[in-house]
Amino acid sequence: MSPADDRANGPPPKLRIRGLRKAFDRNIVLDGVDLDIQAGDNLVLLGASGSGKSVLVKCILGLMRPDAGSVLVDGRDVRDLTSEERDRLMRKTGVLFQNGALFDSLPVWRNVSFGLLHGNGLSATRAKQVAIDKLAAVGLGADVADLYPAALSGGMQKRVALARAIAADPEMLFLDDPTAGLDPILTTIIDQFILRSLEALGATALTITQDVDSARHIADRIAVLHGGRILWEGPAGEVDRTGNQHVNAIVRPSIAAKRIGQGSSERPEGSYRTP
Amino acid sequence: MRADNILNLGVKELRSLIRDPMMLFLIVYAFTFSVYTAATAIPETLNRAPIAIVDEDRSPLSGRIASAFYPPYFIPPEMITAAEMDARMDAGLDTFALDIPPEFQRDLLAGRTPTIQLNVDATRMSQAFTGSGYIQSIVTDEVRTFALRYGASAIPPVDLALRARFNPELDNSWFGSVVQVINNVTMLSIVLTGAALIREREHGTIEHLLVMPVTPFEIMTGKVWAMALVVLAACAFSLAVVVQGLLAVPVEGSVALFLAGATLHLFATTSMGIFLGTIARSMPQFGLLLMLVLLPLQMLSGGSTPRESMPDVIQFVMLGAPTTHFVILAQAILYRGAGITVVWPQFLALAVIGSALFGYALARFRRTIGSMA
Repeated sequence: MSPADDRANGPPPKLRIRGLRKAFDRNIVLDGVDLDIQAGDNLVLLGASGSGKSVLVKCILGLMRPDAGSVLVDGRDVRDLTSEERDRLMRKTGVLFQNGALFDSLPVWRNVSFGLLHGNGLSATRAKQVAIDKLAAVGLGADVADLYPAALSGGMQKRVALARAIAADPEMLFLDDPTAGLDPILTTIIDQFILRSLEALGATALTITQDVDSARHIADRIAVLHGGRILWEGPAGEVDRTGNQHVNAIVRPSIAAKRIGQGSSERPEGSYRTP
Repeated sequence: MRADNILNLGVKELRSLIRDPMMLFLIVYAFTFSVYTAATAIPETLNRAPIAIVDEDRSPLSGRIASAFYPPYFIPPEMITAAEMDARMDAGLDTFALDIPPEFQRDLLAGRTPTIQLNVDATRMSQAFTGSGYIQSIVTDEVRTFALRYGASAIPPVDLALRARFNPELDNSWFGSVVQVINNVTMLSIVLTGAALIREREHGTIEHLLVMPVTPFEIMTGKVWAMALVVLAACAFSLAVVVQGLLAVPVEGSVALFLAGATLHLFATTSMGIFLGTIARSMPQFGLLLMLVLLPLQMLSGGSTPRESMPDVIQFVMLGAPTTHFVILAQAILYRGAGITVVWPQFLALAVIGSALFGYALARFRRTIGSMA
């Protein structure tokens, strides 16, 4: 029985993905992904480069149309939503993109409050105050609010992007490789701000990353994407005890690389999740 | 669709443009220096063409012909020998070399038909074409006047009275400046909207827009109205300050009516910019695409050459281009003072083409969003 099935008898999930498939020409990236995320869960999706993590998130967010399968939020298939319903869903959703995706022509406070100004119709004065509060939540002072992104370091830009993702107090948060390209110290700092923000919001979060240490730090639960499917999913503390070679290769890359170097022929063991 | 979203997204585009010095420079250049130089520095009419004369006759008539060439059409002629003629033309010193043969005046008065040789450097295309006609006309006039004085009956049966309407002095700057404004309206509207979309794509911010409670229609319309407004304002400034002010070109018709037509044209061309922005994946690709699109739009729309001079198939195909209708309405309003009763077909055509381009660009924008993010 898969972990998803183990939890099947609990409350209905906030986010339910079933049989999600996506291919680019003959390259099958997602081959029947099943994943449930309960309300308030903080799940980290681990996977190697090119395993389809970003494609999965884009399909969930509606940025990319899957070839098959469904994405249900609060029991509703996102493809069936009307324009107004999608607007409402997006107002409850925060996203942090891998590259920060800050508007370089707008000052920091307008970046942070972009959704409040454009989607929620907040006044500029109120939006700026919210932006300053959110910047404080990620450890940035009010003096940063009027700077432009080009004046900020990479770590500060990530924090601004995080502040933007949480600006509207979202119910769901998607974080795409939030610590990519950062050094270990900055990674730890960003992880701490992510944890604090999630605790403060009580939001359901899906974080995708290749950084195993970061995943261990922030995740309640971890799922491993491999071969277009969820290979393993469970509590973060159990990720080292799966006994599966592919999971081990991702969570303990240095050991896996050593075995590959020695020509190990060990076959992967059990615990595959089947669609 | 929410109007406040469209307004706010357009304001974001304007903020982005204000912080882009290169684009601002391009806009200022295109509607000031570019218009001025197109009107004054690239004459299409004959201007100061170099001419040399080999006078082998040395008669009063040959002297009369030589003195008939003067500025601004020609620079004062160089009087050369027959031996010098070929060498000077090889060296590119003269565009025209007129050889008046010995006994030319005597043969003329004797009723024979003497021949003058005109050598033309045909590599100087526009000067060669227009200049040959000018020279033929000047020589014929001088010979006829001279012959009449000596009792010859060379009066032609019909006297053609030329009256150049709408541009009595055939001043090229009248035409060139307005054509340049028209061309730059098209160019900048496509460049600004396409570049705005590609910049978002390159910076990854299109992803962020797409997960906001805004629709692709609102994103696209925000870009369209903001960039169209910028180009329209620059166009109005250029017409008032550069064309009417600096170049003193008289504008016959209603500028407001012209700007209304320009608005419809911008609706079409900004949509075209979005469309190209969905095809190109980077700024360099967009630049190459622009060359492919802009050149035919400008060359074949009737702004540079009359449409009637083009092959029928080109004329027919170009009816689908907004620039064709914009050029027709702009020339009709600005040169000939035409009102809406004359140019309404062009307004209608631009509205139809604009709507089709907007709809198609929006459909493509929606379809390609996944690959942009």
